[in-house]
Amino acid sequence: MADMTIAGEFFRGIVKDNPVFALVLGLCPTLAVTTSVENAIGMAGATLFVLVGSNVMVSALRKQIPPITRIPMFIIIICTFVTIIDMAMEAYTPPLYEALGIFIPLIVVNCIIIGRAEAYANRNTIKFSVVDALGIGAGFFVALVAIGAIRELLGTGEIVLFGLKLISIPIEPATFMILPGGAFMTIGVLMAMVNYNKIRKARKGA
Amino acid sequence: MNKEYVMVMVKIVLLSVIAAVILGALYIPTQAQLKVYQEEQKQLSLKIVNPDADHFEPVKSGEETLYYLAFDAGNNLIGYCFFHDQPGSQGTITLAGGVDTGYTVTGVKIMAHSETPGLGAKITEESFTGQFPGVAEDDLMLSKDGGAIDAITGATVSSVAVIDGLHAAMNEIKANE
Repeated sequence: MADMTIAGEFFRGIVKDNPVFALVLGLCPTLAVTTSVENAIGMAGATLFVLVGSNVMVSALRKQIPPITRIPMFIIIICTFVTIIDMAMEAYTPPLYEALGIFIPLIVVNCIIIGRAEAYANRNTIKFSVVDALGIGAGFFVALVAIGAIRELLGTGEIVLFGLKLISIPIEPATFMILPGGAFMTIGVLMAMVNYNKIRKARKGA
Repeated sequence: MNKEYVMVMVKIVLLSVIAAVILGALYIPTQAQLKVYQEEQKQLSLKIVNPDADHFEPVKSGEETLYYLAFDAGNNLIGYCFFHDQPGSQGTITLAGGVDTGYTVTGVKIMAHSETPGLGAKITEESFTGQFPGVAEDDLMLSKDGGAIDAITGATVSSVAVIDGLHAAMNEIKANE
């Protein structure tokens, strides 16, 4: 534990332990809400909030939480944060809330969050738990935005972010990319590329 | 041993109570904000679906608002506005619509829907809703049926749902006139 550094723990969440491409967790929201960059940012932001909140609380209470009831107690903590972000988004960002729909309440059962509570926050100090949450949250953010950008660009021919048109390419929009099939294909291709890179690096090292 | 179980229960109950108190405290301001937002949206939407109107007056049946009368600055009745729920291809489409006194459409706005993103969801876009203003009731159908509205490619059901919703709302107004 002595060799843990803050920067190291943070980047571990983005690269080595990327929740989507390395741990392969939280695929349900990943597939469902990445129809546009805007939705991806909203979802990743909400998840990051819940992740940081629950990691802090679980870490702070880790000596108080009896091992036999730890899962229900984690769930209560996670539910509280999810409900907070759910109510806040409904009241203050209604269009985004409508776009994300059921997937905001469903953050409760996102394995990334309960996974980090169980595997990390329950065993580490608050400081490192926050860093871990930020790192994993950033990793989720990067993954969602990448998938969202590819799907939105190929599916609609442009990327529109908060009313601003960022990129527009002259292609015939492939509606398929916006539909669930496009999500599976995008994530499959990206994951193959990530793994190819990983194997190539490992071979070079050997 | 028994004491240990009691402690476990106490801790769970305590955690739940704290969570409930926090959520309860946050529920009040967020609900208030939500109400404000919804009311604002309604007023804005009425203005969008009938841009010429100066003010609106709800026509009520008991507590329920059936539709709105639109008045110009000189207090003359210039049309009707309404909110209507219509089943779409995926879920309910809530739309705001406005017509003049001769039942020619003055504007349409989609308030809420759960149509397929990229397909039916395009009913919210200007390229679709922009076709409606100026269309008389008799021309209010798809262009393939001889009407004035072009359906969204790949989303005929959603497009028709909007048109049907407008007709249904107009008939409701006529029935209450």
